[in-house]
Amino acid sequence: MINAVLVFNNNGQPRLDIALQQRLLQQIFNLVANRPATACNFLPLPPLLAGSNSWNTSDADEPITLLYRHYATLYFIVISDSLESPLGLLDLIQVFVQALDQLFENVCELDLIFNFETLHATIEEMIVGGCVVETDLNKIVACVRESEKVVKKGHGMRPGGGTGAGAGRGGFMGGDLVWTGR
Amino acid sequence: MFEKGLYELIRGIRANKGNERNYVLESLKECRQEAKSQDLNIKATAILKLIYLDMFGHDMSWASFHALEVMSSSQFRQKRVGYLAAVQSFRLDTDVLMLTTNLIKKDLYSPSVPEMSLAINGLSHIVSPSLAQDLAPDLVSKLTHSSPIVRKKAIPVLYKCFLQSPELLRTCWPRLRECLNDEDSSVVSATVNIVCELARRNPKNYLPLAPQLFKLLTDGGNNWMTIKLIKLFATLTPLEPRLVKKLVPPITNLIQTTPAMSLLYECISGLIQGGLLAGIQDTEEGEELASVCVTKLRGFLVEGDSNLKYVGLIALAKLVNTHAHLVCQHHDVVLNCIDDDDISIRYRALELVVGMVNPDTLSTIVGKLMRQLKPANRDYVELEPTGSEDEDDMQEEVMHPKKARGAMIPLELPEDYKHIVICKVLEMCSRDMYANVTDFEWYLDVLCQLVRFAPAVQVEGTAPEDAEEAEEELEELIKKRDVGEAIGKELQNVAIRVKSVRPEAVRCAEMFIVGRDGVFPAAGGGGKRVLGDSGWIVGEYASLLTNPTLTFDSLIAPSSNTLPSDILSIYLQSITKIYASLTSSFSIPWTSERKTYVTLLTDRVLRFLAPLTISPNLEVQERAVEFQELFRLCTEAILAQPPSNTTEIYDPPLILTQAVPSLFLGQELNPVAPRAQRKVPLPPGLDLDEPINPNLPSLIVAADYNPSLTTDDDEDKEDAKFREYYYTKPATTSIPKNQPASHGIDSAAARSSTAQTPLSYQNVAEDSYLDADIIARRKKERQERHKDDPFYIFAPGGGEEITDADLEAIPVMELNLEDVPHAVPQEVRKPVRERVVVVMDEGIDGDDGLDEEEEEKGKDKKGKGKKKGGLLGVDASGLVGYSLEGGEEKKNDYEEEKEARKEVERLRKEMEAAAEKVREREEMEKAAAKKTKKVKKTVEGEGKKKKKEKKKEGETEGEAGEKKKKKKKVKKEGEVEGDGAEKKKKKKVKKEKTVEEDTQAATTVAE
Repeated sequence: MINAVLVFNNNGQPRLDIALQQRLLQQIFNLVANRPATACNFLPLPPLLAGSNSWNTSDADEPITLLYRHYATLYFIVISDSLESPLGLLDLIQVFVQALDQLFENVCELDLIFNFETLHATIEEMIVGGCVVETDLNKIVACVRESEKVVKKGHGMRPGGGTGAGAGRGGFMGGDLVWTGR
Repeated sequence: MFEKGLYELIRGIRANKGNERNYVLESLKECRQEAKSQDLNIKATAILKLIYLDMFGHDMSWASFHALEVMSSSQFRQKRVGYLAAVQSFRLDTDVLMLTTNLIKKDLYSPSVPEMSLAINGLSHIVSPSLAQDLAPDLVSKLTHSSPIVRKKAIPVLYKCFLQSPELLRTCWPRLRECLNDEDSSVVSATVNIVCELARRNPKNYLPLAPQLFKLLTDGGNNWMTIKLIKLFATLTPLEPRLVKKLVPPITNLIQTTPAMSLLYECISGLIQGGLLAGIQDTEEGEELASVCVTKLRGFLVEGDSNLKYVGLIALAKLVNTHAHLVCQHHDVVLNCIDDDDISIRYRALELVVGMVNPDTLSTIVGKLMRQLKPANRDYVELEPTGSEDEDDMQEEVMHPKKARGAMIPLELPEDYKHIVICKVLEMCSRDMYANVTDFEWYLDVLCQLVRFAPAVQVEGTAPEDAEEAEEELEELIKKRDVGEAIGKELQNVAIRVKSVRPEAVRCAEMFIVGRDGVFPAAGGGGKRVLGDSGWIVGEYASLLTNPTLTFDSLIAPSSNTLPSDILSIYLQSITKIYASLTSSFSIPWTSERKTYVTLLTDRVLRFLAPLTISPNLEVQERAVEFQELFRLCTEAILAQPPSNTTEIYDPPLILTQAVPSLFLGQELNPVAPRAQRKVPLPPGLDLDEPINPNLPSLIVAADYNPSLTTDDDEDKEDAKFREYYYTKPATTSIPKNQPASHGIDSAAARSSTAQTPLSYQNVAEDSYLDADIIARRKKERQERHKDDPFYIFAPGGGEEITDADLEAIPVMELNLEDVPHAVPQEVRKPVRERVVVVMDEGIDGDDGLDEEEEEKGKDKKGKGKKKGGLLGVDASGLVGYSLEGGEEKKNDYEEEKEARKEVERLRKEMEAAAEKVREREEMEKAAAKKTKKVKKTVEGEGKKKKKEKKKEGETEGEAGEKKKKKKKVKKEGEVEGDGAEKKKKKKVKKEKTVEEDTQAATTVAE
């Protein structure tokens, strides 16, 4: 089960976070910010999650996994338990980012700041109640577009749509991905 | 009034750099106003802004009612904002939560799919027990909705409902189960997901699904589902071992064919976790499969991707418990991971390596780890640049990061990591009672080196008001965190258990005590706790010290006063022990120089003790006061004894040669199993609650007023008393040499049980299989070895009882230099033995209480399992052991049930025996028709009982086989009660028993 998905930028400012303690956020950020580029995408548990253990022991009752991926200015973080596949979750983050990239056409941090509703809508298409319900990129994008359409129909405009404007940049699939999916 | 949208708010925050806080507070005030607005549009915008601010820690729970209003908007856009606000701010204790029921219900039946998914999604975050109860039926109806999007989303939300109110599981399960047959793969995948979660809590409910799940596995679906299926099977196989055979072929097939790394990894991990590999360990096939797995995992480690390395190490660490030999084949790659740049990988490798050590690899691995600790040895790593927050930076596309990387910086190993490395080194070496250590002198060197590497003790977040309390807490914390403590324990362990290197161990301890400045790390003050155990060692084995005087001086140095109190109290004991060994010698003539020396020594101890007698720590104070008295007596005795001169020869005072050493000499201390004490039976007639002397308080009062005890006017009388007390050997010290101190405890056990209990803990092994002459020879050998050791004191005549008279007869050993042959060194150095003897823990009847320990651990685990959830807010304890079918069966009653079952079994056996008797009698008393009727009744009762037992335990036992129509009735009864609680049953058994006894009594009367 996925416990939480976080997105924050290089300065630790949250971009997506569902009801998580600020202190935990800070601790995770401290961990993630100090990691070298070559390091793996698994984080040791922050003190708040680790409980009495000073580090993540695998024989704990329910070992928690903390994964992150770093894209440009943003960190995407997933907290899950042992029933999720860690490598699968890394794929999932990739799918998430790809979906955002399609939705915003070359997504950048500003897109996510001004449209965090869409960000939420996207994650909700993929994860419901901690369970991954969809991993198909096209289906996700289609569903989010569908609901965005309903929003526009009701209001006539998309709030703050495309303000960040990364227009003019190269398409994402043609570009070099940081990490190819497995 | 000008209204800000979210866009303006964000721009405004950015425009007010340095003054964000004020701006945000200002905006919050505006939001407060706007939220109260009648215009739903304005309200929605305010809520949206509040959500944004809440993300940064500005609480919006006060606006929950406004959020609810926005949720109920008819416009999708506003509704979405409302649900987002609910997700962000509603908690289980939010009071408007109960008002959402109808709203969500209505939205669940909305014709628009996005609106419906909004409600489903929202519910998954805010569901409470009452919401779950009210809305679960509606969610179940969504399981057959025409759109797969709705179906797949409803399934996880149902699971959330089960978490809130477990009884829903029973009613919803049949419908949920059907979703496994859904035509849409995402729906099936979501269902598998949920079953996987549920099965973790109570796997046995889902065993019937196995064939269906197996079909899904072999049919092959998307990787996500396959991963989940494998995880699910991993939880099921421990309950159904037959599954193992069935699963191995498809999983092997997957391992060989899948292109997805994640699936490959999960297959291997599933094989390990589900105990599949362990299950078929002994078969050739199993060994082959395991070796395939290990080879694949090796590929993970060498492939170059750090994530694969990380997960590969995790899997290997799990595998190493069952297949250590296979994992060891790859120790080269694992060792490379220990030196990885990435600290996460190092942690994992460290964990794995502990399981991998064997006698051949230990020194290599330990050496590698020790090298990491060396301060001069620093690795360099790249650090990612941390960008500054400006507009340009933020517009950087997420998918195309900058290639520029930060400069190389030295990899500073965190102190925590050093701590763990040291702990792991100790764990590796001491594993299985030092099974891997072949060279203990090497191990001692390692220990000394580790002290030097000890990381500084970090103590964070302790600042209570009370300074004294804080200090105590700090001490406690340091004790827990300083690796010195652990190293000290190891040193002590080696000194006690490995007799062959004891002198070396003592030398190490001596080094710590004496050269305190050189042997500890220069900064940080870590490792100091090693002094505690070192202090103990130098005291206990004072005769082995190379330089007792210097050690003694270090112990009584004024700086010792500043040590933590628990170490200080050990020091006090050791000081006395070394004093005893320094002064007790008979062979040194009691000259005036000797007298002066001893006087000085005693005086120095007294001076050291003086300030400690008022120590705030009770243990220190008590010991200081006790020893102070003792040393005062010594001083008196020393002064009273005139020194030898040319004409007269005086012995050293007896208090030095006899009384003080007898406090510490006696039996050698041996390691005792931690639970041995618990198993010592209480001697009959010993009541620990009974006061030894009921008049103790009055005695104390009397003592206070007894002038002869408190005043020292009458010195002669006093002296006589002391002489009588100290110079006559007390009974307790004259225990026969070959009987341990614990003999008293043991003999009680021996008396109470017929089994032969060994008289002694120490000699049991030798005595039981070696003849007397061999033992004597060994003893002689031992003496021979120590012949030239001036510190070795022999017990004359072996195990004879030493009495006062004997002591006088002890001949002073002559050191005959001519007798010492030149070949002695060869004898001293014994040929290198295959295994160094390590003394094991001692327990009673060879039982060291390990199983008990395990039991306790299990209990602990159970206890721990109950209190979880916490921060991440998932509490699934309600589902643990929740049965799908059971009636009133309660969870967590497992222990109780087991016991009750045992009890029933016992009673059943008793009753069977009784019934047999009754039947015999029945045959004997066939004539007495009136009585038989009664007996038959008993047999019937017996039958009733048996019926139930049969149901419970599946036994096939013959029935008494009488009265068919009555049996029917009995059966019915049994069925009715079959579901009842175990306790009830027990009671019933008892009742039946009494009934039977009654009949028996009746038959006896008839006889």
